[in-house]
Amino acid sequence: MRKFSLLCLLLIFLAMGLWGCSQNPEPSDLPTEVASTDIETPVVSDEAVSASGEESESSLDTDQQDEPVADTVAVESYCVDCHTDQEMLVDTAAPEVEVESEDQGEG
Amino acid sequence: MAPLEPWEKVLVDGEAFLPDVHGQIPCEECHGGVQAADKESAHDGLLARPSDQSESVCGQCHPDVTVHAENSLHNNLQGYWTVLDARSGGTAHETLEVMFGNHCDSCHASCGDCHISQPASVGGGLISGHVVNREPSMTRNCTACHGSRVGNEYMGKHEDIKADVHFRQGRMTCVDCHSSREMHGYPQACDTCHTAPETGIIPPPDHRYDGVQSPSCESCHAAVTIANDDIEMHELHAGDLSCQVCHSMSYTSCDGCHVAVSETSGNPYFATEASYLGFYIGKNALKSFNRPYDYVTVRHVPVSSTSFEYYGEDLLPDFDVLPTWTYATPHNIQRNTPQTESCVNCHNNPDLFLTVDKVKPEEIKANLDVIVFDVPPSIIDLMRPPTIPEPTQSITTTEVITP
Repeated sequence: MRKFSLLCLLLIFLAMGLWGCSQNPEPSDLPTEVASTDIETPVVSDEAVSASGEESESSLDTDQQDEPVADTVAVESYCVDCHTDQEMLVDTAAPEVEVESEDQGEG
Repeated sequence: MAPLEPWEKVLVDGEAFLPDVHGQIPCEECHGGVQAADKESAHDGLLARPSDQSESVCGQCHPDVTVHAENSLHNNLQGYWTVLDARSGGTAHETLEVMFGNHCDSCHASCGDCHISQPASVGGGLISGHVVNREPSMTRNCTACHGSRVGNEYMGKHEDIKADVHFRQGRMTCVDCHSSREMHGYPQACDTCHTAPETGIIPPPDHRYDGVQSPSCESCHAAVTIANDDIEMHELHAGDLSCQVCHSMSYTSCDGCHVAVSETSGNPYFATEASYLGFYIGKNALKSFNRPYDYVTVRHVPVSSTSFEYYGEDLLPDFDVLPTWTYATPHNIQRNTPQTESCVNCHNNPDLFLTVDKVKPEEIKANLDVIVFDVPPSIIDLMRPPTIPEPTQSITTTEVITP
């Protein structure tokens, strides 16, 4: 009899356990991706900490921008960004080798 | 036209180009390359002139145009080969191909050379910040290549010679006469219905003055064609003379172009012996149903029998099969010219005609069909009743044969 009661108690626990599992959210609802997209805490070097507050703040900003922005910049814009920026083109233009024409007369 | 700075050649006008339909296409779709923040990586595998592969690039959206590209003279440069093959007699083709690659091939123009950039032969560079211009720029596209003759004549760059009336008064640009159908190499659709009576079926044109005139002066000046404009000379001379014979001013001819590769720089170059202004009326060696004229304006083309001697001896053994004074349509048309002032300015005036004394002795044979041996007589001589020569021999009769 005692064995039967123990078995019933075990079954009840098992049923409760199964019921509990069935109430869990679907795996797709789990926030598992959050971990992978979490912004990493910027590593601030000792030098940056020891520098002035303004400098360390700016370096922190840069680090914070670099990570997420790199993923969200429109991929097409590298070409357009450069080729619509006159100053950048002036700065990065390869010097043209001037070839002196040896043609004589009208072509 | 001042050359563009290196940065200027590749500066994209973001405000004008990006909202345009072509600005919506990702750059690498046409230009290749890779998306990268640094210049070297981004330009890896870059196609600077994607329309050189017009069918696979422009043809993605404009297949109706690119399908005809192989017929476009701007694309295939067939005009060069028409004369090279004729004068070489089909021999030395491989040697001439080397010459062609060094000197002639740079004239090849693809879609972008007319609609986006200046032609490579004048240094390239975007014209309107990469905006794809429906109509090419007259000065930065058309006359950038066709400048030394057509451009200078049309825009009046020769001293004391006015610009063409179509430019001066009509402000017309090249594309007002030279349609996209012509530029893109579309077949001459008119011929499919309006076949010429003397042939019935018109073969494809084998030179640029073959087939239906396109463009033609008569397309706009129809009243002249039917002699319905009260100008007596149009009635008298229409059909005998090309329009340019009366309405053109002096134009450029060139002599003796020779090509070679520089021993110092290794670059190909050319040298022409002479370039001069003149006005010459010659016989029409290309007389046809569509060009029935007896007389046309002719200009000297720069070829000589030794033009390509750097590449080999006697590469043009059949030099004389084509004239060196060729049918020309100068682009400096005026309503009033010295020719229109008076009948005597042309009649019995050898100065205006390509007489044999104006042709180099070694080129006379090539130009026999063009040289004017008998200048049209004076009006007085024309009005004089013809004289009937006295018979000098006795008339003999044939015996009557009776059965």
